[in-house]
Amino acid sequence: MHGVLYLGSDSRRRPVEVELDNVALHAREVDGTEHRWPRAGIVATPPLASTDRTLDLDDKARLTLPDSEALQAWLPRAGIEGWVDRLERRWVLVAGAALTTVVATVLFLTLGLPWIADRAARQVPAVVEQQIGRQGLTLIDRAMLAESRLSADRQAGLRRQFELLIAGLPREADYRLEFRRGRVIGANALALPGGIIVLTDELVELAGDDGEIIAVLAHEAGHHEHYHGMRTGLRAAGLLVALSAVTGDAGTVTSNLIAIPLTLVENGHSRRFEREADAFAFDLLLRKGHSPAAFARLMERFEQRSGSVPGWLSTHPSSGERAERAKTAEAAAMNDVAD
Amino acid sequence: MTQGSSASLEAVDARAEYITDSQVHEEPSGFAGIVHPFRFHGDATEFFRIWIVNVALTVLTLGIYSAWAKVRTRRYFYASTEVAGSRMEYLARPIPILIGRGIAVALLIAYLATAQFAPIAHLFLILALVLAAPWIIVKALAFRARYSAWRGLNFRFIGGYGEAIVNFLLLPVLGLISLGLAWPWVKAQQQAYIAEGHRFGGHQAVFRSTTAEYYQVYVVVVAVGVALVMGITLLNLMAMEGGSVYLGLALIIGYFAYLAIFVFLRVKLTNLFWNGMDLDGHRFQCNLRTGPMFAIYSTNLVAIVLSLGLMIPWAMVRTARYRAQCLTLLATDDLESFVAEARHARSAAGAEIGEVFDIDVGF
Repeated sequence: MHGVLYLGSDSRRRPVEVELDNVALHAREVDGTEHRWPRAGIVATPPLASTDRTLDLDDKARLTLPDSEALQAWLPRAGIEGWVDRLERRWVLVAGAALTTVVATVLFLTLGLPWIADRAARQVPAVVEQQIGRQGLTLIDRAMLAESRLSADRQAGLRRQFELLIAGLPREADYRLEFRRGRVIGANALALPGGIIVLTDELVELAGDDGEIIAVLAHEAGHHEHYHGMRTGLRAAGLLVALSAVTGDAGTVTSNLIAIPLTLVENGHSRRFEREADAFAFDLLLRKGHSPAAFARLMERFEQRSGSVPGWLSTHPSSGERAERAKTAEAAAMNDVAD
Repeated sequence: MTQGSSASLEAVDARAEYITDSQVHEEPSGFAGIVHPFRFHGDATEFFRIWIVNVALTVLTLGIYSAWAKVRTRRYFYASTEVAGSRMEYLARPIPILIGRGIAVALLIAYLATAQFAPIAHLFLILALVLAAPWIIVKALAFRARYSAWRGLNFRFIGGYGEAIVNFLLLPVLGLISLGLAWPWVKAQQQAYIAEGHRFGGHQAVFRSTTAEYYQVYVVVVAVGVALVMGITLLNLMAMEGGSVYLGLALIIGYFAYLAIFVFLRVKLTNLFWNGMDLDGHRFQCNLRTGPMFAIYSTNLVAIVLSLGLMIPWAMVRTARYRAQCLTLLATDDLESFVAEARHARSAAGAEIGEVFDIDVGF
């Protein structure tokens, strides 16, 4: 066998002829110098594809030579990595590994992780959730919002309607309606963890009547009843941990491009939550004697004002889609009444 | 393995006689010695098998196998890199890395948990990480150097903690206070610290890149950055009138422009690092160019996204091959007079924490 010997005391390349016998490894250099190392003290790097094996001869000298069956038979068994190497050499097993990984990962990310996050979200103590919500409010107050310009009477009136709306809901005690001027965020309503619901003046002004405002508040209540805030937070955190654990050593390119699919996945989850909140809202409105068509009208007003971002890029389903669903819910309710 | 794998020439200033397969753009003039191009022998198909089994076993063992996966990947890339007839070696073993990773993951979970639920504790944790960054950087460099070897001799990193604190905590603050004017100088100091902390074969490295060269790089970055911001603002204004097509356009252009600037900076800094490295008179020449590198990165990105990640090994091999193509060792002698450095075992914890929190010491 041919190999290259490095004595470890200097950087000379010493091509050698290698012979293995029962008790020792013999290496002879080009100029005739002979070396000998006892077999027992030799440790080899585990096999790795077609790379040469490197033998640690005596904690200083190293010998590099191509792998071969004779060498493998002579060296001690390679342990875990030896088994893995055998796995890597058989294409069928490699393909199987690829398939298993893809399936397992997809299942975990789309089903397993959300399931775990959702279960955990419901276990979070109310005190913690409210703390998170309060801090969220402080943050957006500081960053974006301003004091509401609605009159005290107007606010009181809306509050009364809101209280009637949420009466009897499982998480009724949590709710806290906050009025703000939206400024950058414009006509909007937000549900924060813990039950805080922020309603902007601009939305109140945009709405044609109070029914439309109540419809939006019903939607926000849906977010809280379904624990969407905590679920989103835990899903995002869980996704980050999982991806960090698996791709730990994949380098900058990968971490740059995790951002894209991550955003798309998160937006997908987000759209499902929005639909869930919409469905809750339609149901609640009907039960309390309001009309889901009011929701549709408000969505149409939104669409006229700002156009729409393509569905798959957006955190919300398109306004047109939501208006359609609202009208369907209204029509279905009418049909039930007619029957 | 033949000995004649590098061009052996002793001509002075004879450009045509340098046989090298890297894309050399500035040939050294007046250089008398031997030119050794780095070569990358790795193959994407071969590495795919290693990589996919790595991923499968890591997923199936809930991350425990990741230490073995990391060692196998590093060993493959090191062993595929050859210069002057000898391959690089990666000597680290999986168990110390596993322990280091365990510590790092525990820290990561604490970081994420406090981010969601205990923001004040989270702030303290961030502060602690920032203050510990110099220590993490030193540990990561020491670990990587200690377990990298060439021709049977391992590297060493002996940069001091005090200097690390100055270079990675104090100087960046200075850079910020000066509104970025001092930043190129800070970067030069940091790279000098990293380069000169390395030892090999009985010699300590000296760093020869000048601060002026760093300023040249950052001036370009700032100029392009300003142009980009103006362009994006313009597109946003047009979006208000003309609808969301301009928004989408701004998004895509913004992302690719950001990537281009990122690549440009990385390429230039890597070149400055290697070109400045002087080990006992031996020098390096690094000719990475932004155009090809950007093309590689962006096509890698597209391929990886379209293949749901299965093209990652191909992308890694491709990038490594280009980087090796652009790197050359300019040796002043036969490279046989290096001697052994001291060897001390190193813990992997610092290095792993650095990786998990992306404290970048790459070069």
